[in-house]
Amino acid sequence: MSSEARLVDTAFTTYQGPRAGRLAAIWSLAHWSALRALGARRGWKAKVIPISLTLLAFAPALVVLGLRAILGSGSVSRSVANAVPYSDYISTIAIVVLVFSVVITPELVCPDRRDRTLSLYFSTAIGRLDYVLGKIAAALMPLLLVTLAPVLLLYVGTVLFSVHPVGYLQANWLDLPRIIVSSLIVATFYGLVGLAISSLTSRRAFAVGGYLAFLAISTVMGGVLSHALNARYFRLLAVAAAPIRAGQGLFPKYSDPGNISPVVWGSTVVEVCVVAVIVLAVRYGRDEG
Amino acid sequence: MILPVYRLTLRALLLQRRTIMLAVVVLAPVATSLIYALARPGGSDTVDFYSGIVQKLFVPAVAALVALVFGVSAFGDEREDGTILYLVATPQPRLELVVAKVAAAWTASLVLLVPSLVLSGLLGLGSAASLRLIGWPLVGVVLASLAYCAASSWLSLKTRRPVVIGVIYILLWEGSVATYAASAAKLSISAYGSAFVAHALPQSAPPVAGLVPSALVLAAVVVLAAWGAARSLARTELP
Repeated sequence: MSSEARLVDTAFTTYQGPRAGRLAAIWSLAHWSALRALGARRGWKAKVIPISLTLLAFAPALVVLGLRAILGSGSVSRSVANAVPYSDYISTIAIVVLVFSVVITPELVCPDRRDRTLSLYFSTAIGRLDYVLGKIAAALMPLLLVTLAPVLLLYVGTVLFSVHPVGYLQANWLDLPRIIVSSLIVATFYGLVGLAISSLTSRRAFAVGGYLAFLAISTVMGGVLSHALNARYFRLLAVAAAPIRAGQGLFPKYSDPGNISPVVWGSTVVEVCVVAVIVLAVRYGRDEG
Repeated sequence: MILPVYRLTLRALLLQRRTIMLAVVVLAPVATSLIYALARPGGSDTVDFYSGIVQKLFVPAVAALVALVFGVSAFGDEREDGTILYLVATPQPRLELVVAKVAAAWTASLVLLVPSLVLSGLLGLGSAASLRLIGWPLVGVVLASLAYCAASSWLSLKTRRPVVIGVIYILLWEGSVATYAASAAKLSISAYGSAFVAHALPQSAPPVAGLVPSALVLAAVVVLAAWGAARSLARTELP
């Protein structure tokens, strides 16, 4: 044996490094969960669907800005700009947002339950509330990528293409907070509902199916009943449309086929979100690993 | 050998908690018809309502989703549990195994879908209910669900995310692209299923094809998917 050999007991030494605090722990969980849901550090097959859906979400903005770049600043160019108003952008790509949330949110919570890593999380500095907050933030980040980022790109592009950018900003500066708030409403709704439904099962496939069933079937039920019975409030059953309608209500010239006010749509959003939070509290408040 | 595989798979598919969840899904059209039956004003067009239920809710959403989940689970559960290795270790032809699995998934789907459609028809149509109005949509659902089951079984052997890809196909392609582009509907399983609905319900949208071509296309989907699944079962790295 070498004379320099020595026994080092490091098994139970306390952590001596910097302590970043609770917020940093939540941020770390949210950050890595979001990246993993988008396919980071996984094979290319896991990246294809999120990247394709993100590109589809950006497509209307890119097409409008591309056409404006080609057409210049004439009247045709201005009518192209009006083809996709900020208020209607999310409803234009609603199906993409829906599929994106159906794909992303189960990925955030189902593997933890299936691989029984929840007890590992809770044995660290992360508590149950921190875990849920981290996962909500993790759902919001990718969802804002398809709800907020494309509309912001369209806004910035429109400012740059306008003849008087400062004048355009002065005339339309209120659109910016409207865009941000409406995107947050949509992202929060789809994120919370997706997480709540996904928390009910450890199988990602069934979470995807359940989430889709909840959104698609309730939407069709609402449409069929309101049409057949000529009762407009049955349209509120279409919960998938509720956050989009509530967001559109922030913009001027709001119109709804059933004359339902954005406040009513907004209250539907709040009710569904409250139920989703209760489901999350029940699922993660119990002593299970 | 094919019969025990069929029986065991059917039992495994039906005796799960997800069957209760799927039962909730198939109750949606029944609940819609019940609300309509209780609240419909006098002189309302019951056939128009029933047509909407079948073509907007039943064929493209409920039947597609139920058949997708059962079709994926037929092989997917065995892959997850690792028991598929014991199945493929038997000296049975791969095609027979696939046929047994698809048949079990189809039967499980029909156990939920058929009562739901019949009940929805009886409630929604009321006194206008007839064998023709319920029978033709039933044929469409039966054939379309077989095609969905076969296609999703093949998908579960080709990819690790069959439900996600199936959902994207149902929502993005069938629910969005095929709705607006008539030629895209030619690549939609639900459009061929709806052709049978359109035969009984004149209010429905123009069918993508006639009855015989639709039946042939759905049969071709089943045969190709079963052949593809058998081929994948022999070549895919399991579980």
